[in-house]
Amino acid sequence: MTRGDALALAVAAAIVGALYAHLWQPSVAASRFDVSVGGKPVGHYSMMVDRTLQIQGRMGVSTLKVENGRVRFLDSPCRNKICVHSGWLGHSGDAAACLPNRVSISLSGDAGSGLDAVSF
Amino acid sequence: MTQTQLIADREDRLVAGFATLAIVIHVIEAGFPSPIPGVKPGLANVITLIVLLRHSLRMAIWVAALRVLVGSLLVGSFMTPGFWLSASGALGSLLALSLGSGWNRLLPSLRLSAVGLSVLSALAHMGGQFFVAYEVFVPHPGLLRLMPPLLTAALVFGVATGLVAAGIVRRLGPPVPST
Amino acid sequence: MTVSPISKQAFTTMFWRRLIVGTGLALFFAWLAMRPQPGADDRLVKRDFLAMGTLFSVSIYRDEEQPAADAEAQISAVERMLHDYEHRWTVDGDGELGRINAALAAGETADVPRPMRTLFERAARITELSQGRFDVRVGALVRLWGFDDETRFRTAPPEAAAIERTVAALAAAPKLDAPFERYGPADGVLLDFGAIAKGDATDLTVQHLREAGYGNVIVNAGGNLRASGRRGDRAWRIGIRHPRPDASHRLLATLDIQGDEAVITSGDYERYFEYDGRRYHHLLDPHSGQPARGLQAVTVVADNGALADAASTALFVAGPGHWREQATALGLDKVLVVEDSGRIVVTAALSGRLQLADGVIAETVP
Repeated sequence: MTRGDALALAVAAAIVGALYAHLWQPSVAASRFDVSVGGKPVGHYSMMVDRTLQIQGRMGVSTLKVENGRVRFLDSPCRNKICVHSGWLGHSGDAAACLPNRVSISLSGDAGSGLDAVSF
Repeated sequence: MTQTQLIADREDRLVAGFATLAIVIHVIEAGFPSPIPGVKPGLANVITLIVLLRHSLRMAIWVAALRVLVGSLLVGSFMTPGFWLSASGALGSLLALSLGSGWNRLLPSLRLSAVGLSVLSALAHMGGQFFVAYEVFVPHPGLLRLMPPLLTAALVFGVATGLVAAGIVRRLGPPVPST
Repeated sequence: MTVSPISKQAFTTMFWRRLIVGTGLALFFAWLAMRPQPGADDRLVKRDFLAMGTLFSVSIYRDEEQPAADAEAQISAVERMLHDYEHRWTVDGDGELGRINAALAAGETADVPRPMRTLFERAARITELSQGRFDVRVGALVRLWGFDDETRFRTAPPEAAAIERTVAALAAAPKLDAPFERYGPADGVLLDFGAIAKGDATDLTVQHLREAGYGNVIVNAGGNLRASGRRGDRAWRIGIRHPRPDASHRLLATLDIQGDEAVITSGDYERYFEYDGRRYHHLLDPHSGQPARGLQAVTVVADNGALADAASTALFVAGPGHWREQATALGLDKVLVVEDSGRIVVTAALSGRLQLADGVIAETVP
């Protein structure tokens, strides 16, 4: 390894480190998630309400399931089902995407239930 | 009537050979799981790197281009998002390799060896794919969250490919000078 | 890459260098993982306490320059204030309302202390506008049904004759009248402000905190909500409970608070018993003496907690046929009701702001 290599490695590590600092926030429980198709938001949903959602993407319908404050891809018309294999997501900042179907979800929200109070 | 004959010279044959190797790796890599479909660690870069080290940047570009084109045709992802991701990755990696070669010419005292070049090209490969995935396909903030871990992986893979490439180049020895 | 034999000294140097770099990197990543999230909830000051027979929860979103300790101290002041308030408005005992009720029970006229007159007046006004559907004079009826004391819940409705007697006494009793300086004699009347006091208490809490410099506040008095301002860069966000929740439907909808609002729900699920397959709940119709029928829940959104609290009861008692005109009479335009059939009806002024839970279908009415 040359000194040039060491420099390149240091610069590379610094870039990656800075990206961690910039893009990674400590995770907290998500309260809501946004669904986008091809980058265009098509809806935002509460994580507090259990349900199954059908999202029309470019190739077909992706099915999302919300349960116990978590959300996952249940099915998607893609080949690899990588979105489905991402499994349950529950933290703010978590995300999953079915790239072939252009359907993506991203979780946001704050600690706790996300709701400040419930009227009953 | 004149007849144009296409004759493969030595360089063409080398390009074809290396491209074949790269394509094989590309196809194998296509079977690897990735958090974002189509975004790959770029193991096929090892061939591009070897060609650059042993021969020239020009040949490396040829090998990479052939690899992306033929590889995606074989995998069945030609013109799909996966193809554009591969292409953007290869483009990013070649860009980094060209810059690296330029650097080596300008500053021989801080010369980058296979490892340095490989790390830079691996990061650029991942960065290029991310750029296209984010800007073209899914401009989604959640995608950016996946960037740091994947770049970390790229860093590790970069070092590994660099070491492998350096080892292979040493074994192969200098190319036989063409006549 | 050539491997050269290295001397022992070089090895030690390299070892230390790697150790330092490695430790540094480890610390760096630990810091990345543990560092507080910028703009996180450290500006939210929240305290829970018991008051007025329910769980109060007060949250303040303080400004940067307002110390958390001061916000805490203000919530403690609110807690003390509410304990005084509770003492004053308790139906029995040696508080002011307890003494009034004791005087009424003895057939005397009771003086109404000055600080209580405002709420007396508001209650009387809402009673008038609701044609008696909301009435603080129902204490005896509530007691007959046993909804006033959770330790002696009934398992069967009271006798019809007893209900009739109580309703008749209520009908014959004098109204609360201006200038609200005294009340009585009123045979068989027990004053119970339970259907308005919690809402009023949330108003007082918000007012107290605003005077102390905290304009971004949410108060939860056992499900009776009153909010003011915002939670940092977003609105206070509240949920409305589903009257018949199951595993997949805990909430009917969520709502972002706009400025200064109370969200108060009356439902047949709060205090009830079941007898002979029927649900007997605490929202009693003062005219019939029976639990009001036809609705499962009424949610009222208004800019005043006392009004929203009393109105949610009045609308519930008005039932599916009359709640809309009752809302209009009280000057309310943001109402959500759930009928016994499960049908959900929302007024136009509210429906645009609600985020209905999935699978929840609501009809919008003017």
